[in-house]
Amino acid sequence: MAHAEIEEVWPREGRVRLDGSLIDAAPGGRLLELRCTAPPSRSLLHRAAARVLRGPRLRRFPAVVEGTLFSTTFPVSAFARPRPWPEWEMYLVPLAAGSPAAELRLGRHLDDVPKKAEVYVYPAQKARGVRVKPVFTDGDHLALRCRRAR
Amino acid sequence: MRITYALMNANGMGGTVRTINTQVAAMADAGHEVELISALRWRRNPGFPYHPAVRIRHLTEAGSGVLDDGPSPEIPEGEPFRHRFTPGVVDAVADAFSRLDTDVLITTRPALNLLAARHAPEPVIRIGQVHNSIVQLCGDLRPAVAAEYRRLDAVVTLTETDRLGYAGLLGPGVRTAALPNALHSLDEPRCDPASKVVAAAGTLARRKGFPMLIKAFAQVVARHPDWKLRIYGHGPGRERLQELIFRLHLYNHVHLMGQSERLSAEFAKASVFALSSRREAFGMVLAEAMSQGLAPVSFDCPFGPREIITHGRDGLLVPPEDTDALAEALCRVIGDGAERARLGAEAARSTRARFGPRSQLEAWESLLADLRAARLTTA
Repeated sequence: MAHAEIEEVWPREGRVRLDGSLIDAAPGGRLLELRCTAPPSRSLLHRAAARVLRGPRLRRFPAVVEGTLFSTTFPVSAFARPRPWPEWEMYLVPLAAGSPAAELRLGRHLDDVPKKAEVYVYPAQKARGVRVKPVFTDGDHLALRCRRAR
Repeated sequence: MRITYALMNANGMGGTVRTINTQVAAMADAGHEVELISALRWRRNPGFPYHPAVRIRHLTEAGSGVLDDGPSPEIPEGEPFRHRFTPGVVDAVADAFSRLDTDVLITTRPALNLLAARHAPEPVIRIGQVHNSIVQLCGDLRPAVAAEYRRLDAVVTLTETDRLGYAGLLGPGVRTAALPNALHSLDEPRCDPASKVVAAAGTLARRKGFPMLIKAFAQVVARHPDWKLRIYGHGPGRERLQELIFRLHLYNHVHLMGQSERLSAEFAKASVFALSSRREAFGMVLAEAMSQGLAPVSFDCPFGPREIITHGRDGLLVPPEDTDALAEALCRVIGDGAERARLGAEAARSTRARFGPRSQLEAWESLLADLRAARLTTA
């Protein structure tokens, strides 16, 4: 399965750097985009309120590729809102013209560790009233968990 | 011979249970009639399957309310598992011991050793096995052991150092012997000396010294950023270790793996084993890792490691609780693949020769024969 395999996660000084490699995917250029998307709320009422309180459900950051290795860094302040979206999925998307717009989901699928959510844990970062923690989901995808910081 | 072993919980997963599992299998294979008394059944099924010929008798059930009371006053406060020895458990053990119809009773922890000394009938040969070292006899446990273990026929320790300690405490009236643990199997997979993983394993508790290992590994990562440390085990110290890993920015290099059902399969993925304990009664896990060919680096803590590792030949010993020395030794085996492979190969050879599953059988049988002969002479 084509995806972006996470090798290292570096949450430091209000930023998060992600290093890894593209699996079964040709980048088609040196630039990629990291897209973080928050799943929509279930009810219509919530959706309307959420748009106001939580802001857009998409954040975009630049990523660079060297061969099949990628690296991207983003500030966690980008997720600060009065009520941040609680969870973000993460994808790498090629930017080069003509490259297939296949999204490569970030995750860790190639090593031998069975319970990645328990074994690969990282410190949360705080900025502008938001606390952001990179986590692995039950499906071994990388996600960001956000909540208001005290 | 009819041999009865007594454990606190035969379904546990700790080192004592594992080694007794190996011991009863060797005894059963040798044709002895083996029964296992479990004072308290804690899990539904055994953590490790027992030899089919071994009869297991659980005296009480953890879920039955037997643990609702406080510890029995009959058990010294220094017994680390005193909270499990409630009056209900103690009465059940005392009753079972007093009715024993067997040739030998081998008990495996202080409370059980004391109850054997007090309640097992005179014709039964009573052996107290000591899986915790003598330095762990705290408070009122030490005088109780000194006074009451004298009624046992023999006290068996895991190391020679510990045997000398007990011989001094108990005086010449009690026979003492040092019989190390045996490896459960010699069929475990060999490790890959090229793997860039250091393994460690143990309860996540202070005595295992994992904070020192993590700090040492911070120095290793500075020189060898492609190496990882995997710590297997669970316990109360997990959160604090994780915080230390965060503080040292080692979350990409040091991983708390949790408890593994198949530790040997995990060891096979590493090439180096690190032991950072403040103390060990024996260090079974060290011998197990070595038997799979991992190059060991260990603190020279009391008591086990120095009786398992010959420094420079089948592993490296460094001064206890010396984090810098531990880092230096780890870098030595990490930085030199040939040295690592040489130490690992010799570690596998020496441990398999000394600690195989039946390695202690002959020593045990000759001890039992001696004790029986001594009884006949007295009679």
